[in-house]
Amino acid sequence: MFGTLLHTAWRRHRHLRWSLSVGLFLMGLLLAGTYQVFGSGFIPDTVFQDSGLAKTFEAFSGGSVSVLSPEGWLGFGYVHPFTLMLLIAWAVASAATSVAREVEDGTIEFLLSRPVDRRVMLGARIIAWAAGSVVLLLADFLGTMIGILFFEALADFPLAGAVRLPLSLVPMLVLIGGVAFLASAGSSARSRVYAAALGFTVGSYFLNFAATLWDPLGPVAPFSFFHYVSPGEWARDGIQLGPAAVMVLLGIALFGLALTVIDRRDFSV
Amino acid sequence: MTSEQPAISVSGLVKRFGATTALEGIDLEVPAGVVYGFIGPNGAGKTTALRILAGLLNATEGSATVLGMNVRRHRKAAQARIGFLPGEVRLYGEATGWDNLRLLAALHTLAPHRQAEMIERFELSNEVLERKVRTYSRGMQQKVGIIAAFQHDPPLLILDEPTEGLDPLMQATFVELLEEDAKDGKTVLLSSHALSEVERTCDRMAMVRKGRIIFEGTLADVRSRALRQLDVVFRSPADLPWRDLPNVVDVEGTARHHLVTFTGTPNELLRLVVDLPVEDMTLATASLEESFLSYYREQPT
Repeated sequence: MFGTLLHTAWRRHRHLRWSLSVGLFLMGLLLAGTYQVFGSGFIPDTVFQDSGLAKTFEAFSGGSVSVLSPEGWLGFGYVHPFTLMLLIAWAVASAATSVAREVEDGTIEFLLSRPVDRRVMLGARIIAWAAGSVVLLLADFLGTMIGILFFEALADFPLAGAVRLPLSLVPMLVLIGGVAFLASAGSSARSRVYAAALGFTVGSYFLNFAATLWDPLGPVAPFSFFHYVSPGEWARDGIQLGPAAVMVLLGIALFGLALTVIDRRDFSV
Repeated sequence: MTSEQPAISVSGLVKRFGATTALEGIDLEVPAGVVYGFIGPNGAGKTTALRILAGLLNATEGSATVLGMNVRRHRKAAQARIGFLPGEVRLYGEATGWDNLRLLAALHTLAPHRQAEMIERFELSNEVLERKVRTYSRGMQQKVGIIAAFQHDPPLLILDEPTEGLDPLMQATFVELLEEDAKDGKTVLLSSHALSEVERTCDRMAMVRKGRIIFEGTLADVRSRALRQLDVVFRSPADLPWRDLPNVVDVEGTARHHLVTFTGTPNELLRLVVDLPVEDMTLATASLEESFLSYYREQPT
């Protein structure tokens, strides 16, 4: 039964997964390819720091690694709004379809009147989303690696650093997925899932952005999860276990709550 | 479950949706091996009650047991023995009929060994089943829904407005199916607002109104409470003590032509008539619809 549910969930989003993977692959390739142009020789570092551009890019890219360094530039690609948009689209679409859309479409009555454990049903859909997220991150990583191999400016970039780039997004995805699946488990409309997941992500993004650029808001930056998303630092310094563990645990708690909610809620269409 | 146990037992069932109370304390027992009708107008609470029995809704108060299992505590085990047809059949539109049936079969613990028989009965060709469900008519979707409910041959069927969208031929097929299943000892609880359907298929019934059961019994019980009319024309004027009979409600007409409205059986009325010269006489048998409406109107709001 679990296999059937997993297979159905995996098949349902195959077209979306494919198109988002292509987008992320191209994004990885593009960022690696453009380092040749925007790399260390593009602007002298002192000019870059003095102009205020460094802080702006830090606000965009997260972390303190200079965007002119290979780690900083490639890391910027992983938190570029376009990359985030594709990853969030995946989380939101998967979560919204998992429960809320079934309620909207009325198919949930047939599904959940069978002897199906509701938690198993949602669990299969969460696993399908997680597996899809791995595919998406692998596509991004593949694009980055091809860029590293083909463009001379990144020839010395370490493989371990490149692997840590997509890994740095995993805690963030677990957290966003947790919010989106919890919203879906408890709601009967896709629009509420979009509102919850996008509101949480975009709100957090802009909170961190504003707090980085404007000193008076600096103390609130730790309240945004984007404050802890820094692919450049992961690539340069290694895995930052503390903040990652907090985000993953929080995300897992939200998934756990989603499984409790779906088990107890009413379904009427 | 022992044979004496009812197939469905509902006690003090209350369901509230916020400030709206859909069920106001329903008590119901459906004996095993009967086709049981659950009737009432739209919004009476029929679908809410059936959804609670199917494990889709949780009761606010009270308990519901199917085949000896509490549907809240043993939801999955209870669902494994139920075939459920929702009031509005909504399938996966982008999948084919076959895909829908296979998915719903795979999610059940019982094997779908009646699937082929049901497909044949409801005349769904392979060509139709290979098409996407979004191209289906309402009736075709209903057929797939009925097949999905029956294909595992469950001992209890809970069917919400099962003949909606079916043409008369398919309705007849469905009635035959219910009769056969009842003979095989299965229990069927079906809701309907089509009284003719209940009349054709059900052994017993409950009437629901505004979240309460206002009547429970056999069809004969409903009819016995309904108003009926005896229309007698005598050859010569006759003066009969109609009003002395306890079941007579009203008497109209002329000295020769008597129109007597009564409830229950006409035996006592006919005894008064039997020795008199009658020119013509008709006894109007109340249809279930009339009986139902008459009963329904009697109830306080």
